Amino acid sequence: MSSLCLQRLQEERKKWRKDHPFGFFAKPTKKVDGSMNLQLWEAGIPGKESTIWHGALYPITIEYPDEYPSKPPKVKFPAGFYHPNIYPSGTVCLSILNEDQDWRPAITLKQIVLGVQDLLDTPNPNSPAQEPAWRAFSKNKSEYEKRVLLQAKQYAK
Amino acid sequence: MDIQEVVGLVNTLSGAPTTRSNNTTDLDIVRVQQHFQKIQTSEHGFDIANQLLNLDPNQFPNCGYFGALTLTVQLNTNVHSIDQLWKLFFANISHLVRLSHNYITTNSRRSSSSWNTIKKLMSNSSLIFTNLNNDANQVSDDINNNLPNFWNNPIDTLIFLLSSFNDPSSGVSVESWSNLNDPNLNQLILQSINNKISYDQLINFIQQSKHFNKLILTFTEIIVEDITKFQSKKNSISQIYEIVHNHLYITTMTILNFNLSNFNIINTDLNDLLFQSISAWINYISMARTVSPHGKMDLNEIFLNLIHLMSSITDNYTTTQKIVSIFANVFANDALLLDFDIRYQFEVIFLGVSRTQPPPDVSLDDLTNKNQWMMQYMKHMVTNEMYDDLRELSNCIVDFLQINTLDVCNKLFTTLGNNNSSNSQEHIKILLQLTNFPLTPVLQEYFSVKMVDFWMDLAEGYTNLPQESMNENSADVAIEIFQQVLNIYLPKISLLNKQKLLEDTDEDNEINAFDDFRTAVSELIESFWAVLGNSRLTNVLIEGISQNSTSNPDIFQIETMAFLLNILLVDMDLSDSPWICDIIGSNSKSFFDNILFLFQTGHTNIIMANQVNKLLQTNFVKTSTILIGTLAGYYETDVAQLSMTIDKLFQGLEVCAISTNDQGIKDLNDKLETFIINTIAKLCEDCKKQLTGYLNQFINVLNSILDLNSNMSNFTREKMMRSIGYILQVLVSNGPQEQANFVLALITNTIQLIEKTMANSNIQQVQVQINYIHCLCSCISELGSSFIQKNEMEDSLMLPRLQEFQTFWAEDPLQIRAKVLNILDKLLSNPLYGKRPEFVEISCLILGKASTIPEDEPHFLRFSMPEIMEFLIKHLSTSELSVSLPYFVYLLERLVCQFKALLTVQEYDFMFERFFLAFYQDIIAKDPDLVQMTVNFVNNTLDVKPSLAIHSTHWTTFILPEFLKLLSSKEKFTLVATTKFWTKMINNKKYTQQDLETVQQQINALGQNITLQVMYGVFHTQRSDINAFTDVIRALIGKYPMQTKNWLIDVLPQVCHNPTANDLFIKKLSVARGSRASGNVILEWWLTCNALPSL
Repeated sequence: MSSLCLQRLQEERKKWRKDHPFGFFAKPTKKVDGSMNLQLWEAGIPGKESTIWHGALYPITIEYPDEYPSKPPKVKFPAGFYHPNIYPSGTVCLSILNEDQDWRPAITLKQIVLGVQDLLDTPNPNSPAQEPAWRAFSKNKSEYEKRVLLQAKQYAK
Repeated sequence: MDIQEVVGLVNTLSGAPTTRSNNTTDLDIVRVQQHFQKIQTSEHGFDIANQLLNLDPNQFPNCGYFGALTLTVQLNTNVHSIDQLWKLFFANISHLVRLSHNYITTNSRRSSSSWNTIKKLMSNSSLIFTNLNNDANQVSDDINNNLPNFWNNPIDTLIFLLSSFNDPSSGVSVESWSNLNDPNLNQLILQSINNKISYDQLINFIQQSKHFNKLILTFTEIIVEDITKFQSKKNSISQIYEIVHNHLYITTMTILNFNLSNFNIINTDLNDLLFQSISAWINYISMARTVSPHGKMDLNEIFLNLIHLMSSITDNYTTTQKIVSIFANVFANDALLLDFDIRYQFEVIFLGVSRTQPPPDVSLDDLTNKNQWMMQYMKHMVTNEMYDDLRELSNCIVDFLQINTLDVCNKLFTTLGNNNSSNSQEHIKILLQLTNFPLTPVLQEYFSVKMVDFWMDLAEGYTNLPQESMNENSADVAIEIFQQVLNIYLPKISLLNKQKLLEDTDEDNEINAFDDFRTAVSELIESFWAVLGNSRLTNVLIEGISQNSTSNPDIFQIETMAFLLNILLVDMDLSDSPWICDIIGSNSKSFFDNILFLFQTGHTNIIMANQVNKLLQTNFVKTSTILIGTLAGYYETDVAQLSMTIDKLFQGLEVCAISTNDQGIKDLNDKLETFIINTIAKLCEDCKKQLTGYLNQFINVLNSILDLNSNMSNFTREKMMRSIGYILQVLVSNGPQEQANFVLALITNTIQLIEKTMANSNIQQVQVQINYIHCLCSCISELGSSFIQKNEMEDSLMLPRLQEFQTFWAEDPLQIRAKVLNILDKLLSNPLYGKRPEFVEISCLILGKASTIPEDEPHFLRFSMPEIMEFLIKHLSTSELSVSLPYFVYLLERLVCQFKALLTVQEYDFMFERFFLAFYQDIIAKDPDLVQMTVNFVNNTLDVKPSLAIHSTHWTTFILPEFLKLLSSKEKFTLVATTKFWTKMINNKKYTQQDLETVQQQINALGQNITLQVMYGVFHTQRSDINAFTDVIRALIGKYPMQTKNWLIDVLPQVCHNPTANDLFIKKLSVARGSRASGNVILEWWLTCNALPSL
């Protein structure tokens, strides 16, 4: 890991501990020897209130490349996560996480998790990443909602 | 421009009652605003501003502010030379001086509008000050004016001019201040620009009255606030830092320190201004010292004066709170603004001890007295329940402490600078006391909340220390400290405190803050694990839960420990941690009794409980069920406890099934039910082998909850079926027949329920029935899913009998597949269900269930290709294809993947005809989603076995011509799928030699047309979609470089007549390497051809 990457991740951690939105958690994972792996974080995204995503805490992992912050982190839900903009592998398709689109090195962890939370209830139909959720979202809203509610139970908090 | 008209506009905008009629609408206001903005930016703006500012403020109270605002607009829009800037400077300062003079000398009530006008003019001056001192500024062309290159000190200028106002010797009469053309006035202002005001003049000026003082404090605050804001917008203003440092800073510090030394509690508004001004300067210096060498300015005297004032003033701590707030801001954002000596002072004031020796000129007695005062202050806040102020102080102290964590860490644990370890230990003792602040966290105190960060830093600092630098006893010291911290936090995060909070407030913020506190402590405990290990942490919690009296257990203590224990165990594989299992095992009875007691307390009588207890009890259920799930690895070794736990979970589930019309209780039950069923499913998945003996019990529960009249949710039904499936999956020791009998029983029961519900169709309950039947179908699907192993086949019992199971399920003597197929057929043949896409979807999911697992893995839902095809063809015609076709195609794709080796081109043709061509014009072509689905189907074939598509009779007659047209699609998703198709078609590693030859011939024939369509598509697409074409263009140029160059030469003029851009594009493209470089070349061409600015 480059010193810039390390320095920035330490800064991100500090900032997060000082100020993070309620209901979210984010922390670096531990390596086998018990030391901290700053390049791989686990976090929880609460579904927004008054939405079909509410009542659950959705787990994600955030993987920072060595080139961070020049390159964006990779954010992943569990494989098979039901959402139009989440690939079957769980990878999140979001413009602020795309180096060729809206990623900027100044984007913080807080902005990322809030962006992902926003994405949950406001999918981008122009950027489908998986067939089932995208199809249901475009063609069969009630089925879509039913599936999302079931998933919310899976990750009930 | 008539000034009366402008006054009218101003009055309308400012809502003066005489001018704004009742009929004035928002639209009118917008129109007036637009008109006024036009005037402000016009060449008359400057004159209008002066006229408005010269109007009598008593008669036209709002005009002055709008005049000042118009000068701001002029400053921002109409300054094209340094001379124009100076012109605005002269006008602005003369108005500022005149109005300020009126303000400080008037005996009547000072109006807020004239104060606002003065502040706006000060802000204009600040903007002029920044612009005049800009690095990029040029010297004035007008040599005769003798204008200086810089404006050093606006405060000195203002004081000089205000002192000259009304002074006959200045040669400027009072009236002349309104006449900007008066040569004497201009001369006076010119003289004032860099006139220096001595210390005595300055002090005399602010001592004249509090209004003089107020004026100067406000002006200096506005200037530095504006520069701080301005910094984020502009980089080339480094000159300003030097000027501020050399001039304004010195003047301001004199004023601020004088005010602090002569502090009078009576002047409340002046004192507030003083503190605001100090804060603005702190923020400014904090910013400036990071961007300029001139930004480093000493604030020590101010800080010392503030400390003195804070601890000596007797105004019932009102001023103290304001000063604490200033320091809280410093410690939170830039604590290193304070030098070592001052930080030392703070340490002793806050804690009463210091880790270091006192600096030479610091009186320890004085500081000790100040610490006594701090104790009094805290006591005062506690006694008077001033919890917000106490919180501010905790922010201040803990942020301060965090500056020194590394030093504390070194002093406590290493040989570096360890000359006074007893001091450090005393220091830690105080910090522990602070953490253990004797009030309720969040509700009353925040010390313990804030200290979590400190302890976490200390624990991590300790963990990262190099072994060779550590003290001999560092491990013992660390263990002792962190164990004490643990013991402090256990009662702090107890739900007892949440209960107090819930009883005291409805504020979600506070309740959320408490939950956040618990999460933070759980992370802290994780950090402690690296220091304390299992023996001093995990075991302590396990034993803490176990040793809690089983006759009279402390439920809150159990909950807290269970909550933290879960955090430690969740990442451990308990089945591989015999040591932890032994500890649990040695306490197993009391340990599990207490966990289950927590669970039972949670759900027992919960619906009768009051709102607070409902929330607490839900937390009990949540903590206990989550921990039970985490303990699954242990349960594998202790079947007796597993059995007891399962019983209790079932009892809990039963409680949730209670019938009620109260939506609140329904929601609560639903929540509890979800926690419980998720835990049951987790135990079944992990302990399936141990649970085979409980199958009948599980099936009984399933049968009762599958009933339509049961109050269980569909989620629970499906999860329960999946849970049973996990157990059945490992029921192999007696051969396949036993497993099959259970599967048959479950499937038969489910089918009977479906048939019964279909037969008893009740019009009023139709939606309920539809949902119910869909849930039953999902149960079949879930049962199928549970038989799919996550990893490779791991079951040691299954492997020797694999052949037996394969044969059994291939033959399916119990006709389970036929029964499933039959019920799905019945459902889809009934228009009530068959027309609904969710039933087509679930049918396809069931039929394709085994298509993703290796062929040698036995599965009771492994349907043959003819079975599936027959089913699909039959129901294709009866379904609502516009919404259901994607599910059929999904299954079709699975079939192509699964049976690719057996599938012939003729069969592929048949599929393509029946599922795509037959509906293409009528249904598919009308819906871009379905078009994309069609393209993706072919793409999938190109990935899996390209020869099926390439040698299909529809390849040249339909696929190539149709997909060529799709290159000009407007929908991004269709476009992405289509360009992916062409990329795969041009460059595909799975091609056989025969495929390759066929494709090469086709590309040579079609190449020019493909290139034309691609480039046409690029040219006409929107910028954000250009990337979609990059890969196909790269594939063309990579695989057919010479031909593509010629094709481009031919087609580009047809797309865009820009020979230069086209030539450049072809040249650059042929040498571009990598996707990003090619993407830039394409983007550049697109920008040039669309006459947009290049990159």
